[in-house]
Amino acid sequence: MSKLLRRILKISVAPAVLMIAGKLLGIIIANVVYNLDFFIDNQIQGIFSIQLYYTNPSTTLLVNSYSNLFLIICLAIPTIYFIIKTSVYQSTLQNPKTIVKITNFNILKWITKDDTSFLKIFIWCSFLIITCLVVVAQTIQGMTYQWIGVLASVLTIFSIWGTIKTYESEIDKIYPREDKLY
Amino acid sequence: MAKKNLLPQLLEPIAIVVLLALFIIPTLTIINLSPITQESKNRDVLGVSSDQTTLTIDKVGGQHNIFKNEKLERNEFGEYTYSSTVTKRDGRKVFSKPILEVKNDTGMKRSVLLYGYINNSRNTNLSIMVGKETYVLNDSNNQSYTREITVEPGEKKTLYLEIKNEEKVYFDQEFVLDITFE
Repeated sequence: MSKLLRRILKISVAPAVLMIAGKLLGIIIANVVYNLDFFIDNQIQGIFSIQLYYTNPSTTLLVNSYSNLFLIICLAIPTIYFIIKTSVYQSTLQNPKTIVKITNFNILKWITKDDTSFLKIFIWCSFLIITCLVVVAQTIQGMTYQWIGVLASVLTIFSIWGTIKTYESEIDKIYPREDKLY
Repeated sequence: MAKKNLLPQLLEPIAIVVLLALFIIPTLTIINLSPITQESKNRDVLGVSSDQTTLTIDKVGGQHNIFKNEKLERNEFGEYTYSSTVTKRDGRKVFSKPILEVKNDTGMKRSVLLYGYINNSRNTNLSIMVGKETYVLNDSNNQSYTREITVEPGEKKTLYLEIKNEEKVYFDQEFVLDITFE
């Protein structure tokens, strides 16, 4: 088995688990906070055998919206963290002012610990994009609040932009641009 | 001839399938975990439905000068009986108290049938107030009526018992309200 495939598998486990846990926790939190009664039904037809349901449409909308919001927050926080860390790290290589700034903030050790690779950002962004697309689709179907759909769209665009930027900086490492040589 | 280890080559397609599963399973899970709206089935063992109404009726309770010993009982058929002691009181005065709360947790419009009576009911006006609506149960001619109250899905209604006598009542009376569902 190739080293790359092994690394991809290793990195993918965390966001996959977080995706399921985030949705489940979101539902539990919404039920506890709003003190709601939920029901579980066995479905014979369709792909899924178990279905969570509520008797009131507004309750369904509320629980689905807040669980989706919790889910995208769970995935967005680590992804944004990785993108920012890589961006700051790349900036230190190109701009001496950034080194001075991060030394002042005493985060030099954190920045220089290069444990965030393009692969990691790419996988986390992929999971975030998939999640955001599901949320946007549910917003179009009227199953989620509109503002959560808008937030998911913004996060999708940000994730794509973050991945492209990281890819560019990785390419710069291999093929440095002429104007950035000195 | 040295044997070639084929295990890594065999593992590679499996790893790709696992990787795909890591993306697909969480996506399907979050779609499946999204709740839906449907009517509560409330089934017992073997799918036999023992409670077809699922309307929730609760006693409001509390202290009152005239209405004492409030009781709410449910029989084996799922019908309720509310009873209370109406103590001695002045004539030409209206006495009122919130007695019951009816909540419709089903996904359908439901109706509650009310039939109320009081012993020694001579000249006793009995009625149930729901919001601004008044439902006469017993008029001054001793005529009793069965009243129907409709409850929308997710709606909660508070029922007030109102009692009025033309003359002073020198003894305690027992009021009974039979609650059935249509």
